[in-house]
Amino acid sequence: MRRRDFIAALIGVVAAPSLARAQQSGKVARLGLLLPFPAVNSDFAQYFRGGMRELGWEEGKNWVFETRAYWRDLSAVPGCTEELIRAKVDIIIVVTLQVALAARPVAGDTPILVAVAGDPVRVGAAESLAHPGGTITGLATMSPELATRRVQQLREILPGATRLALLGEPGTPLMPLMLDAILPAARSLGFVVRVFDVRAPEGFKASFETMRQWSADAVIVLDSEMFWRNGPRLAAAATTVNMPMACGFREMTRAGCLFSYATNIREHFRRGATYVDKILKGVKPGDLPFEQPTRFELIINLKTARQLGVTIPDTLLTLADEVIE
Amino acid sequence: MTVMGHSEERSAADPAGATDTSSLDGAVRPRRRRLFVKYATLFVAVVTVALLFSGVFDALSYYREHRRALVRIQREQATAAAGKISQFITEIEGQLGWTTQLPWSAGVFDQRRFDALRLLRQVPAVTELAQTDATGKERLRVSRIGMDVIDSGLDLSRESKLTETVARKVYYGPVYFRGESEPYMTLAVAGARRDAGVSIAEVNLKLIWDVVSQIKVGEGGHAYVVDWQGRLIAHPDISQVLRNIDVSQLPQVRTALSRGPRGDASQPDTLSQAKNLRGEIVLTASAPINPLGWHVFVELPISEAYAPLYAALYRLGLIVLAGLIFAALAGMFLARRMVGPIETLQLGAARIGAGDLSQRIAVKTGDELEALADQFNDMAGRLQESYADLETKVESRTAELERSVAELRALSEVTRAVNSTIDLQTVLSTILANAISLAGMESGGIYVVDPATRKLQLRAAHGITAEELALLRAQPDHERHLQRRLGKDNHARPFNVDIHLEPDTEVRALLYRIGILAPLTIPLHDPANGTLIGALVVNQQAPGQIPAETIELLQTFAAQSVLAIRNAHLFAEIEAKGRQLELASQHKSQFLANMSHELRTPLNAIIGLTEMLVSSAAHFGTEKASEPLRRVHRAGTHLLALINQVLDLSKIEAGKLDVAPERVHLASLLDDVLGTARQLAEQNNNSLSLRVPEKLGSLTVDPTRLRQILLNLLSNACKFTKQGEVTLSAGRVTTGARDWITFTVADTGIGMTAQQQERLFEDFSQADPSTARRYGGTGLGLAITRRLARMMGGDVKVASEPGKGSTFSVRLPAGAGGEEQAAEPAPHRMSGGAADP
Ligand SMILES: Nc1ncnc2c1ncn2[C@@H]1O[C@H](COP(=O)(O)OP(=O)(O)O)[C@@H](O)[C@H]1O
Ligand SMILES: [Mg+2]
Repeated sequence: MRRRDFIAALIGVVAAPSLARAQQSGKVARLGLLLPFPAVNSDFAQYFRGGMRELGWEEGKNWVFETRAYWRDLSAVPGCTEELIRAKVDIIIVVTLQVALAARPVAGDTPILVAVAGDPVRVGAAESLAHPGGTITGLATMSPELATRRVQQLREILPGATRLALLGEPGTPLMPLMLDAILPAARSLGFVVRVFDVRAPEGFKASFETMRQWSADAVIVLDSEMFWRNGPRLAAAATTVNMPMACGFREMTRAGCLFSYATNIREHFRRGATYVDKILKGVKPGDLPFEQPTRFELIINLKTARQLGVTIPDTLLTLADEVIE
Repeated sequence: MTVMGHSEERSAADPAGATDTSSLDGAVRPRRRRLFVKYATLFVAVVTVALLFSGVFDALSYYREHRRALVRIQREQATAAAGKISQFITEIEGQLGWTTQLPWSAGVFDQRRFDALRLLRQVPAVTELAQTDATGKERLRVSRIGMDVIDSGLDLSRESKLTETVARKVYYGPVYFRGESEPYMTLAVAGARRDAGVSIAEVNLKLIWDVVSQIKVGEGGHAYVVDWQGRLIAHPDISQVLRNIDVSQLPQVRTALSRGPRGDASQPDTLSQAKNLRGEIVLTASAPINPLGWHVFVELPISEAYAPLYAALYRLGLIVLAGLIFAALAGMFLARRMVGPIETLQLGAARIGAGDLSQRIAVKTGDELEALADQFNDMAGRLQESYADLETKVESRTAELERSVAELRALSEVTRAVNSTIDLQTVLSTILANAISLAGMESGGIYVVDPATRKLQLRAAHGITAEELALLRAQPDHERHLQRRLGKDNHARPFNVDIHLEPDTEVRALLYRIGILAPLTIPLHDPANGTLIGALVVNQQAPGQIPAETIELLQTFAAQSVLAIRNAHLFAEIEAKGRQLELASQHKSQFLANMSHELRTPLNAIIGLTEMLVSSAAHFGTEKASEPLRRVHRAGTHLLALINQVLDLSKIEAGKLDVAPERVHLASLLDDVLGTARQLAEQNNNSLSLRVPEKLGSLTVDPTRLRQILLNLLSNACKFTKQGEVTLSAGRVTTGARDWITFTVADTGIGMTAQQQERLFEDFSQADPSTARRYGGTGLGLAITRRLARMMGGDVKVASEPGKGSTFSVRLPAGAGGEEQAAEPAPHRMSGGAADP
């Protein structure tokens, strides 16, 4: 009798911790993914999954995606956000600050992670990069600073160019910030600058036609999710007017843009997993600093260069991180 | 008799024996327990101490080794990390060196710019690179995140970073934060040539993160870097760095920093336990990063660091516990093994001590205990042997005793038979049966010499069937045969005869048939005159001599037989004489009765004639003759009374006096008696009175006999009293459970002395010889009175004093009359006592 009790107690002692562990692992985290289009299996999602895997999370076992698409309609964001909140997501992942700001009033205490944030402090999403303070955190892109570097690189490729067109999507919070950075830089390098607006891919052709009429020697595309998603169409439009084009996303260079100098936003998604990990482990988003990029990639599309009849200087080619032949 | 039986006998003889053994068990148990517990406890204690000692020792040494290993690993990691970081910085330094190879001249400007851009591409940590010429003017500045600046004209010559660089060839600036979040450091290198100027790089220290994050310290441990001001420069959790945290307040950081910005690398930090930024207790080690004056800290949460230790301790605990359980079991087992033989020994010894000598102690341990057990067994064996010896002796004594007890019993039975019965047959049979069974013989007989014929006759036989007995009786020759032999040899002592050696006669053939082969004959002689009165013959079926002690025993029985035969003879004689006496007495009574009758008839005629003659004497004128006639008449009357009394007495004696009880009213009977006695009283001028209680009632009694009794007493009273008083009284008296009627006759006459009173009730007895002369009488009255009273279940007694008078009282049972006579023949003896003859 006594012996059996003893053995039972022993088994209890041995078994108790493992049991507790087993019970702990019962919860499955729900990650709300709010994208402009249904993209559960897109590159970004895959990069994010990779990041989660590296941190020891297993999809379907201890976390799942809850995706919503707002179809590029910012006014649909609050509705989607509400749905996600109702689905009891632990965190909402968005791509841009614009969406994050639109979702914030609805999301309440639910943390919002921005994968590609331009300048969160200036758009009012964070108190400071080091200490965002609110519910929004994420990875900054340093888009404005990088844009000035793009102007310089364009000057090196086209030493004789004088007219520089800037193509932007009005309404994006980043656009004025980028303009603020680019305009003085372009002027200092002797460019005459004119800003062209386009709100939809349908307007691409017309915009480029206008640029041609203005005799623009080159165009710098201001960072926008719309441009990033419609890279090929934009490149096609640029090709029709034989316009050298500099972009903020490597994907656009792959689509036909002359070159891009920017952070790799796929990396942003992979790094985003570390934020999710911390938030799920209880760190407040306000305590998680906006991380600034440290790696910038210069991608040059030589095919486009040849089509344009542009010669890329050797010094630039040597410095390029990737050259597309 | 077995030994077991013996021990039983002993324990039965000693009532304490049984309780002894039980109390023995009771006493053994706790003692055994104590020893058992002692052994088991000792064993467990020894094993426990050993286990605990080795366990604690193991744990301690394991703890020390584990700690040492942790120290080594962490220190190695810290040192390695420090090496890597310092290499990281040194590489940047080296790269920067390349950019300051060329002197500032117009032709090299583009080359230098290109070199600078290439540096940015090759060294991602450098975000911005500025170059000055020998005068300290900034000639070139390239940035990843901004446009190139050429000949900005900024004069840096006064700035400390430049002067220091120029002085020391290399400069490590303090860590600063861009945008309050990105850690940066200014790293400046002066060219080998004086005119090559200085390259100033802004290094993004976040890239040290790559180095730091690659340092894996267990599961939850990590490394981080702190600059000489105590600011966090690198941490796997980059957000910690970006928050620009001052960690100098952490004790481990303070300790490391206190060694100075250029701490001695050869003197390793001691591993310490401290709280980290999150407040967790960690094991931490640090190594200085030279030449920056930074420190790499490696930390591991204490819980994880000691997890294997705890696991080991837990395992150790389990092992110790299992060991203890095993020890307890083994201890119990061993203790049982050790205590078992001792217990067996003890119990065995106790049993032997309690008298169970057949007990053998089975201890097969092959050691001293077994030797001890063997010695106990030897001892028990010896004891058992000596007891067995003693027992055989006791056994034979007991047998002897039993035999003599049997003999005594037989003898006493015989004696009792001899004494209690005069039936010779029974006595002889008893003697014979006892003699044969005690002597261990099969059969036998007792012959008795018939006093009349002087021939031996078989009076008792034993062990001989009726059939055989009939054969013997049918052959009276065998008695003659025996007698002849007894007579011929004049045997006075027992003698043994072997039938085989006898001449072949019919008797011998008969004896053969019956199976008597060796009869032992013991002659029975009358000790008074030595004449042969019989013989005791016992038959032993096997031929051979009979042991002397058996013969001796048989002689005792023979003596008893003699006694019995003599008694029988004597009794026979007495019986014969008694019969003759009785016959004579009967004849006498018969004669007396007849005689009385024959006498009374003529005497009545004589008295009647004499009366007639006396009365007619005057008529006839023969008055002179009347006196003699009166005398004749008196004498006749006296004679008649005498004859009547003698007749009564003889009737009583001959048992021919019958009593006829009937219901009698006492008062009237007493009146009647008093009337008769009045005449007697008047003769001596005595007054006669009667005192009777009112309700005397009636009595079942023979009235004639009662009247005779009372008249006897009254006549005596009147006769021996002159001018006195005679009183008859009656009353009921209860003595014990019986009721009596008492009749008392009291007078005031001459009385009697005590001696006279003694003989009073005897036949023909009177107070003294003169009485008859003076008072007349026969002396038979009181004798008859007493006989009658006794016949009726009562008695008579007297109280008297000479000269004062006498009082006679008679009592008769009130409940019954004469019937009770047979039931209560013994008279109640009354006080003052008329003694029986
Ligand atoms: N009442 C009496 N007083 C004195 N003596 C008596 C009395 N009765 C009897 N005796 C004595 O007892 C004797 C015996 O008496 P009893 O047998 O009657 O014979 P008897 O009368 O024939 O002499 C008497 O002789 C007498 O001596
Ligand atoms: Mg008389």
